[in-house]
Amino acid sequence: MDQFDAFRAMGEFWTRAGMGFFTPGAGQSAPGFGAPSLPTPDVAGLAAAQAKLTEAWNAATALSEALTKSLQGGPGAPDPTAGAVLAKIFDPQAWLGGSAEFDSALTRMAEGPQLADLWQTERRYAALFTAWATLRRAQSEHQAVMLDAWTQAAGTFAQEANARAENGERFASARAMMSRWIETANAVLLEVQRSETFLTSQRAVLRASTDLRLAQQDIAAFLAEFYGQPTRAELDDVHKSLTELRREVRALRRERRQAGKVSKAGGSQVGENAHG
Amino acid sequence: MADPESPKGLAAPLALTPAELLAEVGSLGRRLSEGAKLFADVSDADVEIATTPKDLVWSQDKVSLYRYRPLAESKGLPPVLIVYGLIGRYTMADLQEDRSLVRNLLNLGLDLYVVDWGNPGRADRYVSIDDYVDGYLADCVAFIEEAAEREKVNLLGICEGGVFTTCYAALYPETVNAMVLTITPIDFHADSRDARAGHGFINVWTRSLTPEDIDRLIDAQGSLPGAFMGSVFSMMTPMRTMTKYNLDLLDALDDKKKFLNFLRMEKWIADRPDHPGEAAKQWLKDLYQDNKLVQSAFVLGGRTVNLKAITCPVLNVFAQDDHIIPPATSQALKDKIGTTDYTEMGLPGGHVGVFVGGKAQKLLGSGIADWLGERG
Repeated sequence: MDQFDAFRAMGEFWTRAGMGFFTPGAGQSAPGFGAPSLPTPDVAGLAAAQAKLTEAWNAATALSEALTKSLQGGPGAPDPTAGAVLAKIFDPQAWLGGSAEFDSALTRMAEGPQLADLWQTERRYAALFTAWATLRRAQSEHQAVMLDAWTQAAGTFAQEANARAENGERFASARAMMSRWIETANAVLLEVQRSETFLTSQRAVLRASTDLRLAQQDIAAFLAEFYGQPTRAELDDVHKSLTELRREVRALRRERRQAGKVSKAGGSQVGENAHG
Repeated sequence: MADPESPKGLAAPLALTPAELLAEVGSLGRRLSEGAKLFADVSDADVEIATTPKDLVWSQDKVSLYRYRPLAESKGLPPVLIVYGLIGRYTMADLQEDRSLVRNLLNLGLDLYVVDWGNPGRADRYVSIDDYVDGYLADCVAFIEEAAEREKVNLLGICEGGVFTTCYAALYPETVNAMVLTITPIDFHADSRDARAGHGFINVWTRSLTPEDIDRLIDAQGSLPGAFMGSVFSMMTPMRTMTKYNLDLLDALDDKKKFLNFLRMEKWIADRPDHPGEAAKQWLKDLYQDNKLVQSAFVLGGRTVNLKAITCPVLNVFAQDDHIIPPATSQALKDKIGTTDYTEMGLPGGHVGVFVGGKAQKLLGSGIADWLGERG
């Protein structure tokens, strides 16, 4: 099972699990909540994004394999060790890893505590699921953009390597070849990162992860209130008051310092006059 | 999308036989093994940063003011207060003994102070740039004036810290003898006038967001997490980010000194405090998006930061190859301030290279000390 099979399986699981919640009578409402009116999550959008990502992944993988095979000396001179090293260098997965640093920073930021009794809050849970599906869709769309960029870089590199080979020029070492690949890939990535497509898909990931975080906080606030615990908003109020009080204390200290300076200056003047 | 079949006819472009390739892989294995030994031998003390002796002289909330112990006879100049920003920490100016702006300045007889903003947490959600400039920084300056029995101090701002000192010098010009800015953005949109590949990505990225995106991000997080900004910085050097812990580290393994330098730098990079929520909103919206500083439209503590009110001498240091703060964004200060005593110093290297690059950091220390010496 590759990672995209896992994506699909996860999507199906969430779809099945999610549909269970939309069945009348499923779950148990919290006291006083009545029959919830639940939003329908955009699972079709998620599936479409995953399909596009799978397509991009298949193209990138085919190109990666072709590159690695060609660069290790052709079918006449197979070398499994060198082949493995080259396969690693030209692995498009690394590019998903590169963008995933940003994604994982967002994911870490979005991940909240596991709340065991989420089932009591269907409406909020549905909103949370929608936010989750939206984030996954946004991530899939962003990864497809990154894979397209990898394919573009690999294609550029392959053309250059072909041209070199035709001219009888060769890379002196694997490291020299790797350096050229890094240079080529860097140029493509820098260009892609400034493109409207990249910035738009990344902004969508940021928005979706923020929405997921807020949906989680909404559930946490609901439960905190339900169990008589302070909510994030209440703590924020306290912190706001504290910051404002600190400002006032600082201002008072400054006034006192200024008054001290004035009085000291006045005092010394009196002293000087007295001695004069 | 490129044709996956395009490299099909590729001839072997590598001038190596399979045996030579295998030897290269073998060499790689040896280096990895040597590297593992190096890692095992390294202790915390080997990679300690910011080791120049200093004493805590003042603190308030999470903010601490330190005074460095002198390393040479005093030149008798007004004290210098080093102000770093909230993205990263002041320890960059004192990374290690032989790459330390702090030590270079102390060795040239300057009286040095540094402010550490601490680690803002969720409870600091409502702390703003007003608090940093009009509050903490103003109190630090007041303390130094009293301790040194001087009416004015010298300010040395670094990056976002340079923005803080610029605002302070405009709001309290009577307390500043001279101001040195290093790698400091003033015109946050000037990157578009000097669009070099890979330069100014943070400017482009921030402008791609809407003000509401930023408000919601801060609502959700309470701060601008340091790790998040770290990931944005990583995107500025995409392939380097992917090769840093394999190729770059491998290169460093040949030389223990180089290896330890690599680790110290990583230690500094990893120490990235969170930006308090309100301060982050001002930084990203008022400055990066709306570009209010260069227009003298930025408001702090109810007062407008008018750049023309800066009347002290200004030394503006920028890195010629700075991809984070493109030179044009710093140099924009020139015609905006109210003094003709304005000097620019463009140093070789990138954003951090100015402080740790062999040549640049020596030029930086002596350049600052000489310039301040002439304005004592």
